[in-house]
Amino acid sequence: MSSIETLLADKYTGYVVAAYVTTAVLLGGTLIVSVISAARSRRDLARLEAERKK
Amino acid sequence: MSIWRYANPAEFMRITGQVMIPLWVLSGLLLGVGLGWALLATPDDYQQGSTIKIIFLHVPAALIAINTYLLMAIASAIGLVRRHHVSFLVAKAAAPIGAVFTAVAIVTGAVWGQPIWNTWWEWDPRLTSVLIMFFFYIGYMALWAAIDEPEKAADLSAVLCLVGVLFALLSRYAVRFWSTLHQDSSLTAVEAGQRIHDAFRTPLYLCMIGFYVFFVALLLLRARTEIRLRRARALRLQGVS
Repeated sequence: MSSIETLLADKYTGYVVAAYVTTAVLLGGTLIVSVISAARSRRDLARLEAERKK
Repeated sequence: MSIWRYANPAEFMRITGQVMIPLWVLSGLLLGVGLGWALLATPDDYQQGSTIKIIFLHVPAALIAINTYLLMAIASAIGLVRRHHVSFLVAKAAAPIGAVFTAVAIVTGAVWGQPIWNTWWEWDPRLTSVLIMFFFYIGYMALWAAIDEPEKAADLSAVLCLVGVLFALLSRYAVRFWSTLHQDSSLTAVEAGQRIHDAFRTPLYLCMIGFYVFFVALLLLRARTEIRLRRARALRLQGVS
């Protein structure tokens, strides 16, 4: 039996899956929010710098 | 050459801009290999079964949660003493990441504790000090958000951060001061029975390094955003809109 089959057959699998899914959601969510904020701030600053140079 | 030149926002942006992509690639590789190894190629523990696989999330998250707070405290102290805005902004950028890693440590600890300790939560010194540290993270972010004047917000939140450093240190060393439900560090334990088995050690180190690189990349991304927001605010104050 492979390691993944052993994991899926284990009575504690639900706990392991819950831990990994929660971590993925929390860290993935933080990453997405951070990337969106970074893109927005870059765009906003570029617009302001261009306005200042006019 | 002085390290303080990196406190110059333009220099900070120039240097960090060059390392962002390599850091993301490296963290993806390390986490991919480390977590893949952890999930697919490590055996079950003879006592804990498959729940041992939670260690690959819980230990790196807890380490980063505590060390992020210490990093924020150092950056805040440097900001207060030397008045470098980048220091304050790095601390501000680190706070949400530290709070999320603390939440991950608490949640994965609870999910691990239920089958192994038979409880989701225990008012154990280490768990309690981590929870208080989490509240300091929230308080620090709330204080930044509550004050409109950035200079004042930076100073007051830096002081709050330094007050909370006690709980970050307690989170780290509580298991050495008190004999509690939470075991001592599995990586540094001297007694063979308490030390982590070699089968788990290498993937755990890979995951720890991978999460640390991910943390650094995320921190730099957020710090660069804070610097841009500050610059944009300065331009608006000059009448540019």
